[in-house]
Amino acid sequence: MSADTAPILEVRDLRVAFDAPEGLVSPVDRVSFSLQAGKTIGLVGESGCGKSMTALAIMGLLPRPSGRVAGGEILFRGQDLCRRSDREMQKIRGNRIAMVFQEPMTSLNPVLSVGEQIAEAVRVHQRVGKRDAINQAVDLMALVGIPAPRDRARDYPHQFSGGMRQRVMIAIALACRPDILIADEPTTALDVTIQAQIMDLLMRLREERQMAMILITHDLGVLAEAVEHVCVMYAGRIVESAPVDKLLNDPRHPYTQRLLAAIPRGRRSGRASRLQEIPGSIPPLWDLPGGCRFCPRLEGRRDLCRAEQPPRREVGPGHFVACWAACSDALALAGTAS
Amino acid sequence: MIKAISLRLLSAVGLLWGVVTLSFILIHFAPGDPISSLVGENGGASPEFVARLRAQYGLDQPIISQYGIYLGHLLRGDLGYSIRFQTPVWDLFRERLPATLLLLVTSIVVFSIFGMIAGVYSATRAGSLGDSAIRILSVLAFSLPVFWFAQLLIALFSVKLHLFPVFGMHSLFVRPGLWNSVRDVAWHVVLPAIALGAWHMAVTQRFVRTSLIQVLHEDYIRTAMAKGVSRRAILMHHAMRNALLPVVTITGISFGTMLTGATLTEIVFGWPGLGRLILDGVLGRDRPLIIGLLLISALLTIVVDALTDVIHGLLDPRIRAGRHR
Repeated sequence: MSADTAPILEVRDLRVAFDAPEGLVSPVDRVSFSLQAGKTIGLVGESGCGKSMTALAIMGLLPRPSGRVAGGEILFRGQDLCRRSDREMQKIRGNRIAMVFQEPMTSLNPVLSVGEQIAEAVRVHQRVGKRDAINQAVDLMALVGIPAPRDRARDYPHQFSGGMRQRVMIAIALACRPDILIADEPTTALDVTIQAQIMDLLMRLREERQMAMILITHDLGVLAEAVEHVCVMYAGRIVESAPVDKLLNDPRHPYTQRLLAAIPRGRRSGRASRLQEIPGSIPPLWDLPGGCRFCPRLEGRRDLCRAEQPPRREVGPGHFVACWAACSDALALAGTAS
Repeated sequence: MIKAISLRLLSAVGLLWGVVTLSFILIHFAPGDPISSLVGENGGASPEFVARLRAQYGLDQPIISQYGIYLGHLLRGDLGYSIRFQTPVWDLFRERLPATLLLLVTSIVVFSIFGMIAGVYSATRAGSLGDSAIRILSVLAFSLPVFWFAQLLIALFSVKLHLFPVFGMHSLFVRPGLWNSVRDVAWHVVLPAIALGAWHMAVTQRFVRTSLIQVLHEDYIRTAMAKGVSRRAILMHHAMRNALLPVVTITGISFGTMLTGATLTEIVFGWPGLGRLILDGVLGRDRPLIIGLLLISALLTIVVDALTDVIHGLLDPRIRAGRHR
């Protein structure tokens, strides 16, 4: 990441609040990251750590009326998206920033033909006639690798397989050549063989169209090839963020270390080792521990971890960690850190 | 497709035959008989006269041959002869069915639309004051008995406010011209249609509300929002078509209830439809008339059921899957 170019998207101290039966909860808490044009970052973490909520906040699609952005800013080309009106956000969504969702089986409208649904994405943002829009939809279907696109455009979602439906979703997302594509676990719901195809497709299109991309995943395996920078989230916060090779080879946060240890490695090393799991589970949002949120799952925690939230510290070029133990020099500075 | 249609027709014929048979048996075992109600219960007629009447209407025959004769006539399109009205049943129907259909169809169409508008309003503003008000009204309309509600309407709008006629389908003196008579009938149909349609509107409102709220939480609505489609277009283009599927089903089902409601409404408003005929037929133990009425109700229900399926097919491509490749 070169520091001299302005990022296309910058998220600063983003906080998302929800009215839950248990009270006000924050599934995303002071999250910051930035994305350069044409680059890809990965958001990783267990289910429920706030990855998808971060994405929905960027899209302005937090479920209403219970959810909202409660603090921070989301700067797209220097403009704060949180301050945009509904109407202004409509012009950005699907046009400059597009999103592919996790669940292809239910993400398409069952009563509209696939061609119509792709053409709609074109027509919402461009002044083109119905026929032109359909032609563009057919081109998009060819682009994402759907065979016989002109015939298939007339078919309905139930006539497509999961992998094909996800291709349709990608076609919809790409309809207006967005600057940023957010892919929220795009392969999680698919067969393993199809997963690789869809990932390859996304990578190829990102290359061809020079899009910036946010790839949300809980599969650390895909990161190495797919992204340049990784943010690891835990219980609504980013605990570590680093260039991908740094993160995979030199993880500093105990959570990242354990996540990597939990990847099955097969028998490559000669003998199969027992898979390492992380003891405990993510704390519920309405009952978060004070101080470091991951600490209760660690054995060697100290009083400081319990008492105070660890600050974000740079431990290498572009490598940030929020952990008292990982930046031992910070311990001395604990008094001055906010 | 052809196979589906012929299966459908076959089952319709079977159903109609079942209705005829069952009503034939039930009426035969019901107390009272058409001749005694014709000549009067207090025995003014001589036994010979009664016996002659019985023979004339074929009531002296064993039930099985009565049944056989009736079916035979039915197959030739003859619904028999009304004992009470001394007229062929078919003539009675031809005279009265249009009035009933006018009332039913007006009521269903108009109040389906109102119910949908109210349902969309309360679904998109769920939990608001307007939504609560609509839901209370809806429960009220749902639980009011038709005959009582009809009388309330007459008391208020006809007797007190003189806005609508009390009775019937036509005014005695109407200026000539098609337009004038259409207006006159429309003026007469307002109150009966409200009395009959309030219940249906309440049912529709509740189903649209529930169904739309559910649909608005579907993933594909989020996809449409992610495309940048406006809320209004999402509602009209993406949500309503899906939300209407269960509403179409319920409209088909509520048609049967509406048919009963139409009988009561017609009696209260003196509407010259089949409703009054049903009452007269039952009171007079007029067997051909009653069976004919049941037959036509069954036929209407079957037609409405088929229509429901056709509309479903138009709305939902998954149902018309057979036509595609």
